[in-house]
Amino acid sequence: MAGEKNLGMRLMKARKRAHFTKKAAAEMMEFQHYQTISDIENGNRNVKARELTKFSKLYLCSMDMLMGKIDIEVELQLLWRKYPADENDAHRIKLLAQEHCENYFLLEKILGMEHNNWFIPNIDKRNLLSNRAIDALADEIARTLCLGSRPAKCLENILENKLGIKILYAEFNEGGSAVSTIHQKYGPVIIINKDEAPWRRNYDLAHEFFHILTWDYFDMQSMESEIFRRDVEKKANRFASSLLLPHADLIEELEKIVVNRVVEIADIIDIAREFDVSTPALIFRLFNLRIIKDFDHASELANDREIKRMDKKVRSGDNSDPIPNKYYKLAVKCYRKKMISRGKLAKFIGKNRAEIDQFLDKWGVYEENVEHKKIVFT
Amino acid sequence: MLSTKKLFLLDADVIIDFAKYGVLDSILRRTKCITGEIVAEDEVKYYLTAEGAKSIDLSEYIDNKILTIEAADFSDLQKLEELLPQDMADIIDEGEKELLAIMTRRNDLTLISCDHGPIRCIPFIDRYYRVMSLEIMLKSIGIKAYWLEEKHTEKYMKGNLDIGRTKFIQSS
Repeated sequence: MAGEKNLGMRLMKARKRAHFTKKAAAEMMEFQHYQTISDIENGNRNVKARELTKFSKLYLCSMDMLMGKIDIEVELQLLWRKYPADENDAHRIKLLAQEHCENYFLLEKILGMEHNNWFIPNIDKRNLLSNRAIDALADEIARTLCLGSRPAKCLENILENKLGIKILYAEFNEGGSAVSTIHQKYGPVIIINKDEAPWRRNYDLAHEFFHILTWDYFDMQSMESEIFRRDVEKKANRFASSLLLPHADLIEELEKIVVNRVVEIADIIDIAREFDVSTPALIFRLFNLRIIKDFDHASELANDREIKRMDKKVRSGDNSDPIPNKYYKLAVKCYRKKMISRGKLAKFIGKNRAEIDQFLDKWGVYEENVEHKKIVFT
Repeated sequence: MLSTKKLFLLDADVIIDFAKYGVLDSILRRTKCITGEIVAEDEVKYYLTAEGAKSIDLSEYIDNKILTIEAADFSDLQKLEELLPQDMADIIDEGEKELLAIMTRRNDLTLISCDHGPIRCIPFIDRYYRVMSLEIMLKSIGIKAYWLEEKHTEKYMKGNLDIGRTKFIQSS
């Protein structure tokens, strides 16, 4: 019975951590009465394996946590771009983020890649003092990471594979567009709102990348000051804009469309698509570069309903669900090396078992005879 | 008189494949089959065809006691976790853990699985002779299957069972 008592205590901890009352938890678990939750938490009622998995999903808490293998208390400190209006939303995203990170970390652990798997370039604090310095920083980072002339097209890949930043997607509801953190166990993590449009996600990614780069300079405590936070957010926006729209490449594209110092707005939308950013982001970048001289004019264009409508219309085919590429690749690699079962793969990628064959066809699991071929290096 | 019929414990993929190849009904009616609660309630939902998803409804079989559902509880899971080293526990999901926990509690079940994960865990729970490939199961009940995939074969099952045994020997 001692085992049940300890399980009950862990379940109570997990419930409180997820901000559920006994009554709400009982309803979600489809128990007739909340007394059942009390009985379970006091160790007076047996818990079935399926009930445990349901608790795990409800409380956004891994089975390993409920079985007592991992501490339930570990929590992520997230840096919010916009703190959700609803505290419960913020808490849910936090737990979801931790669950994602734990799964990601587990895949790395299974593959023996969990240690020192990330690297963040050092930057000089002086590079953050002025807008011009931030532009220069963005240029330098783009060069160092070989982001090329269309950085948005490869940024995610480079951040994940070259720097080892974990990039995940989650539903944020009203909870803003992205969060980031550097965690002792999980390393640097960026979580993007999956409901954002792809070109917005690129911008969010570059914005959060700035926070990761400057993590040691702008600590969480100082970010609690609204004035300070707003200033850092402006810097992050400036960095994102410079990184995704490199000066020389942008000018090269503009020169193709300018006639008598005038451009058609439709051509501006085309350029924004070409660089995979939103049209307002491009317009503000043109203001930063003093190509559009007047801020009010830039602001008016960026918020123009007609332009927004046109932008949305031409991009209607560009909307695709985000894919956590590296995470999927790690899961597939674990499966291919037979380090996880089919069922576990389905759980990691959040698909039904019936869909696994289709998923594997797409993500590359080879026939046995190809899998066992090896190359010997000299 | 005691029945000599084998009691088969079916993994989720096995049920899905039986349904996909149209033999689920005849197999359940010819044999005594059990599956875990998580497999039946949460994992077996549908299979995919070129025309789309076709749902698998186990409720009629369950209601008519043609398919028996068995559940493991926390103490069964604890016993299983005592037997499985962490790296083996990490490779399987909750439905598979429940099946293995049921097998740990009972010694009269034969696991039918086409997944390397649970098959490799079998030597750790001391049920080495209590696992069977789909190929042999079908032969034993007289069903000819021309649709067998590599994962359904005896060779695949034995290969993974041997890997599990080697891991078990190395870890003990």
